[in-house]
Amino acid sequence: MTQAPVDWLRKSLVSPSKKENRFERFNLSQNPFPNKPSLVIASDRLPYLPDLRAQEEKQFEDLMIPRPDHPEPRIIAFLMDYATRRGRGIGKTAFLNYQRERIMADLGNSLTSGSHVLFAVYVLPLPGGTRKFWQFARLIAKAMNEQGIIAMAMWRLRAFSEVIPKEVLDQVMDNPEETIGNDAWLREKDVVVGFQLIHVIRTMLEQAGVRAEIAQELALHGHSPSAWQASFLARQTEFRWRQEGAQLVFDDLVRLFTLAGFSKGLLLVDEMEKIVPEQNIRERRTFADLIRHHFIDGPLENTRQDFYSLFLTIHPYIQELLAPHWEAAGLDRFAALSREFAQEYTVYFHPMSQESAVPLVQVYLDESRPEDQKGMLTPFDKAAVTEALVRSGGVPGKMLTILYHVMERAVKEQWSSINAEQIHQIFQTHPPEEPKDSKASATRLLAPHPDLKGNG
Amino acid sequence: MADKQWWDKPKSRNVGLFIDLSLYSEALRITAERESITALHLRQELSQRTRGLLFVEKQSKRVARDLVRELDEFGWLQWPSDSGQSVDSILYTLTPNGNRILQLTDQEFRRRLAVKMHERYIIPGWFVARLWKINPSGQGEVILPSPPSSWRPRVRPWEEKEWTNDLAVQVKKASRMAETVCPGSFPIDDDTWVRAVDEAWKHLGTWKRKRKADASGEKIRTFSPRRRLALAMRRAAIAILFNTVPFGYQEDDIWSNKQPLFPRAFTIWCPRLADLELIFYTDKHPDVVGRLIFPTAVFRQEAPHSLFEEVKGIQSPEEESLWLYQPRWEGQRKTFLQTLIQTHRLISRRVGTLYVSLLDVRDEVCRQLRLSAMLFDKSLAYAFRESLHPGATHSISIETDVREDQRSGSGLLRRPIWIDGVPYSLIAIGQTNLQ
Repeated sequence: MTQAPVDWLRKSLVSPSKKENRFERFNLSQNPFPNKPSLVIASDRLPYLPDLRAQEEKQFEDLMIPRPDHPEPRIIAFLMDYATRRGRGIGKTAFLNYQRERIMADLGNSLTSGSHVLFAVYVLPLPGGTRKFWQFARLIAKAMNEQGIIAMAMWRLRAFSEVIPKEVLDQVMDNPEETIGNDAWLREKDVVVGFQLIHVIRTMLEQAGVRAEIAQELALHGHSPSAWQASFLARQTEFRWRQEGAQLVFDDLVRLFTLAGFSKGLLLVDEMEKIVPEQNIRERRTFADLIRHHFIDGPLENTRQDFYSLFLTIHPYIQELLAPHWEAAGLDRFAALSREFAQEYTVYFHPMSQESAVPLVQVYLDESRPEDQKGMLTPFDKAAVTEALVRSGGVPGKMLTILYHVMERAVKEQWSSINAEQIHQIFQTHPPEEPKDSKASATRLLAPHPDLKGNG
Repeated sequence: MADKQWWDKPKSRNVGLFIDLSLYSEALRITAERESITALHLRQELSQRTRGLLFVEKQSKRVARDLVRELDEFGWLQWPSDSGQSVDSILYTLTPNGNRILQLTDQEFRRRLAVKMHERYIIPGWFVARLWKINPSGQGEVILPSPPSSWRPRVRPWEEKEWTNDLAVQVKKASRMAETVCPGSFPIDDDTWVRAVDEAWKHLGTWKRKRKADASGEKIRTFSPRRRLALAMRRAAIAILFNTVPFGYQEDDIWSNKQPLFPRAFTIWCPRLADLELIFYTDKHPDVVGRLIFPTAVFRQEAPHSLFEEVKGIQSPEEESLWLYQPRWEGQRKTFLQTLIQTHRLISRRVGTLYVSLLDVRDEVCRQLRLSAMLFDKSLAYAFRESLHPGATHSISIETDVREDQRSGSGLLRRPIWIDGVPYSLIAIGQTNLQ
């Protein structure tokens, strides 16, 4: 039997904008809730409601952000849920990224009342690929490059180099990547890039103590993330990362950032559970020792300046696994991971309250509503939102999933409104009930040691 | 009161060498589906399962043979005399009783199984009564000690078998630790205890050397004194505490000319009895070095039905019935939650972390409340679901992560907490701020 040839040039018939709007009857342009409520970095798919995490945000600022009245924040702190994690989706990743965006929006100007220039980088370990500290350092270096931190430092350095005339700098405005970060644009403006700008930058870096080879590579390619990746990061062998990776991140780059006028860098590390359980006991101990060496008291530029602050997202199990090694490395004195002082270094994630649930639902609904109808909770009522919150155990990600399915069902079943009973139909968590074969009801409460030979 | 003073002679001592009681019901179900079955076919059809967290892909031939033999002895399977020549080719069919058994709920099935096992082996009822006899003031709490964890001897050459003063010191220390943790749980005097362990130690020294598991095939040349002493202590404790004459008594309490429980049978019966909800046992209680066992059932004439469930068909020589301690959730909610929270807090303070081993919490809560492991699972499921409701004062979080101590050795076999078919091993409890 012959088969029709595959039309490999075929395009989809319906463009996304021409799809039938199944949610029109609710005055919504689409299902307002995501079918994949997880955050993808560098995408704008999920709205974020800052008020939801106001308490945690305050704790984060108190621990991590330097201010005139609080100049020395924690070097290491933790993000952990407070006995609330009933599945993923409580919003730690969204929280971290929102903090990163807040800081990067004005380089920490408003948060520090103008007293510091900050950057924040989001670090996501890869499963199985971050057992050793040098791999961790490589991850940080790559994240700083991909998120434009190194490039930004280089742009600032170029601006401070006094090679670029003021009238050219005035044209940079909000587009540094295409201007001060673009050699061709600079040449158009009669800036001598090759023989002057790069030379001056390299000399500045070398004078600040950056190793000559690194200074050369940064001066040539550091202003462009893709160029720095291709010309430097991708060319480093594992052997080289093992030997010199930590020196690059904790010494050379710290000197670069300081020279570029940054006063602190925040490393927001998500999902430590991708690192610690993969390690054997010796690796864990070494990892903790090297954290101490590179962040607390090793002979490095980072420790001399207390430049990086490390914010670790701790999965519940990780605390127990890491705690003995953390203590053995003496890190508890600087950042208590466990025992009585742990709360002084930890941002605890609490479950979402009923007061927060309605505004969160509102934000999602408004994203899909016409301008003149924003602010309405329909087709939901408050009881429905409360029911979804309770059923999700206060976990925002789980609640959004429930609401997504409720909306789909509402269209399918042609519901006109959504109340608590309809939420209940979707989320089939049965209330506690007695086993069928139990006998008569009991009211007596048991003592801690019931006497089985007495009356129980 | 009847005059009878002892338990009946067991009809059989040949208990099947497996501990997963769900094999019985699955074998009956498979037989019902196929109408008839041989041990060989049964082995092929039994599903994969877990023992603790150990994955068991296939049952051994021995297990399949034991299974059909026991079901035949219980009267739930039958076979015509001309159905096969070899053990594996005997064709079994369901009896009418076997058919009725299939209609029961899981819990009802386990109760019937307890009765059948007692009728055949006597061990279920006798073991519960024996625990109560060993430590009546401690409600049957018994510890079979292991060497103190601080004792870390070097390996010894295989030939070096002699009993040393150091061993005697450790043996005495272990029994004192047990008595300190749970008074009355190990009521054996030092002389008897040391002598028995010495004897067991020397007996173990006569065992043939095994070959190494590696490719060399060489015989092993050394042994771990710690492991051998632990084994000797276990054998000695079983021989003293679970013999025909209860320790400290003059006369037998069971009609048997042999020790009712040898060490191998003991390892089979503990998990079986725990699954039947007659006892609770653990080898990993955070405060106990050794095996902690206590009954979750009691022999008595009458008991409140709101707290106990009578197992009809198991009676003591004094004609008392066996009652399982099975308090209803409404009746024990407050105590359960209090004990759970207190125990979590205690362990959390000790280890310094918010998330702690749920298995450790389970062991202590069960010890305090005299709950079976299965009843703990059910109670925790209720507590967890209630903690999701508005107004709950505490937030309970349970996690499925496999802890490192569950990944190998005896930790792999430790029963996890099962809720809705999911094994859990970590718990955190905190004050809730849900309004």
